[in-house]
Amino acid sequence: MNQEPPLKEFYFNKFEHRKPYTPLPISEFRNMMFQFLAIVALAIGALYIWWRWKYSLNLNCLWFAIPLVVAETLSFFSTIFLYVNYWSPKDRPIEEPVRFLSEIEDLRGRPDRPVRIDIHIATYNEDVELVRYTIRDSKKIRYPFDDVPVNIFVLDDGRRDGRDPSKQNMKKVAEEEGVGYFCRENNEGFKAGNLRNGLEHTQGDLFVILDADARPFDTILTATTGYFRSKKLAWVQTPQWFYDTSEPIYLKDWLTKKAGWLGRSAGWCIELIFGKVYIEEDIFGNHPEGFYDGLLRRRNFHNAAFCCGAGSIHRREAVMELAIKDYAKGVRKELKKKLEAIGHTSFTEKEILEYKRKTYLDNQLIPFKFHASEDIYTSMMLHAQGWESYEHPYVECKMLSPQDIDTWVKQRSRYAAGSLDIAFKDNPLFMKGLTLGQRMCYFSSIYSYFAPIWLIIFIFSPILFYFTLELPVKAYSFDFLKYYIPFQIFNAIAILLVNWGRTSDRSDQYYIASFWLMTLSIISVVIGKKVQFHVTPKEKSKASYLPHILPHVIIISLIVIGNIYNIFLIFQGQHPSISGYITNTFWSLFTVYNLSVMIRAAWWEEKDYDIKNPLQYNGLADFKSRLARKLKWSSIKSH
Amino acid sequence: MTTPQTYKFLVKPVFFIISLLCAAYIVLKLEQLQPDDVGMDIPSYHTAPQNNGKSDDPKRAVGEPEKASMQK
Repeated sequence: MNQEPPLKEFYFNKFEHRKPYTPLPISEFRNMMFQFLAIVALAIGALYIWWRWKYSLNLNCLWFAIPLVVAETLSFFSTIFLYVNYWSPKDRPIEEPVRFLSEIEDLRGRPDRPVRIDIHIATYNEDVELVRYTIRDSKKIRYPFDDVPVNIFVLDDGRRDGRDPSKQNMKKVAEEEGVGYFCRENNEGFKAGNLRNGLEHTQGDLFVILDADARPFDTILTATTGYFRSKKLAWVQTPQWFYDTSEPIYLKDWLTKKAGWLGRSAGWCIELIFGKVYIEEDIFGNHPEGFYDGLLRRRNFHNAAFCCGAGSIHRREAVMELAIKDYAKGVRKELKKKLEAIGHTSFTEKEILEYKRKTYLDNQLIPFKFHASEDIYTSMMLHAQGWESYEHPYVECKMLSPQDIDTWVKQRSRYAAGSLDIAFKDNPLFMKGLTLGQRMCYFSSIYSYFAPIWLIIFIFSPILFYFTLELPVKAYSFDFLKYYIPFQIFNAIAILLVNWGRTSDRSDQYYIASFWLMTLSIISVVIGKKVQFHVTPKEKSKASYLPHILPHVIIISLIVIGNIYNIFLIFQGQHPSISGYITNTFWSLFTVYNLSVMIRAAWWEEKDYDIKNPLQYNGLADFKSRLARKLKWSSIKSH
Repeated sequence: MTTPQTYKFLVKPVFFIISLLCAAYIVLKLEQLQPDDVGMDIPSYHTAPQNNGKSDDPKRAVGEPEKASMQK
């Protein structure tokens, strides 16, 4: 009897016990409350922006006042887009898994047969023993019908088929595990090209895309194939859950360890005010719940949930239809261009036919767009063709997250540059075939990457005040407060209702702390630099972290120096605006809090803490969640 | 006979109309909100002091020096 080769030990083995989050139960009442508060917040926000432009500008300091009010206006637009995204949830009922092709496609005279399902594991340079974990978990996938073939294929873009002894042998691992293996001779189109190669060699009517580290749960097919009974559904995306995020540390224990009884007392005081506080929880902000369960799931309402790559299940018919249409369009365009260039009259009919034949051969069928953000780009094109998508709320696979700031920055830079590139090349606002909701959702994804335009102004505003002592507004008067505070309160409660029981602090921090990488991405796209496809490394990078956090360190230093200077002026009795100082200090503390997370992440080292209480959320969020359940505001749907 | 289900489609439009009306009402109220509505004193640079010829001190006529300064 053949024994399976043993699995290699990795750092993530100690997190195997972790269980994924469960999706937020849908509550119609809570959603209506959110919609009400969103409408009120938008009305007050519009009033605030109007007041800012009309009455509040400090005309003696327009160089400061105008950029700030522009930044506030742009930021307000992003709030509008956010509300559109969040507007309403729309879950589909989970259906029985499909068995026959006729359940998911119109046969048009073809004989019926059991549906074929493939699992494609895309890999490039990851440790082959890591891929073995994914293969093993894929082999454990259950499907209730024995006559439905479920085939697993490793799509290797690293040509690790044994030809190069210096590389690991991926083909051997695939053979040992008894799954299919394909590799290609070039890396054209990167991941999209790799997937195309897989599709060329396989026949699945439905296929699952997995990354090298995306380990599926055994329910991934049972829970999702039923959705494909809707014959316009092109793909189902499941949440990407990172199960190796940093462990939360109980602040009181940490303070005790650092400062003995003094630390314990301080921890006790903090706990008295704020409840139990945990630090270093998900230090890289990788927890995806806010994105998948909050944002993407709610995009189902607009039929605008885009594909995020790993953990998605696709209908072959949809991607191939897109590929054929694109192919025909490309050939038509190129032929027209060529024939116009050479002139019809100077060539014989035969020569023109030869030209056409060559053009047909030169063009390729491309199911997934060859792009750094191939998933979002292909999704947009499929939606424009009238196909539907669905974000399945339950986690069906687990993945590994970036373990250092260099890897994290590279991954986020690719997302940012890829999305910005789409804005310049194929802007969803002008793409034919998209509905208004889809246009707004796709544009909001892209718009969010323009955030540095306003974030930089917000970050530098207190610093400018500290050193120039000029105010961008006439005064931080009653009028300012009467518009600003209600807007912030309504907005905060509206967002709290959407994220009921879920904290978004870390992602909010990273949204601001990412200003630098997003700025660099904007610059690289504007100057026309080609967006590179960097595969996210699965192990710790040894590259220097300093370039990623240097701007953050400089900004925090300037804030500290500015504060010292202003306090000195106050004690001298020479400060022109105490209220301005107080307002800007609050703002700068908020900035320091947000920027500091990236500095802490840069120096974060995994510690061997006792995992006594591995919490997913902080105490406040847990409390809200428990309260929500107690008040029975939510109708919990059974999985 | 009509059932409540028949009119269920009206819930959302009515809800949105009410929300819009509430938002408009809040906006109007905010517009009218003055510092003294929330117990704040009106700062001197917002409203010029009215000179109606009367002094706070009934015993002292306008223009007459304060008692303290007279004692000096």
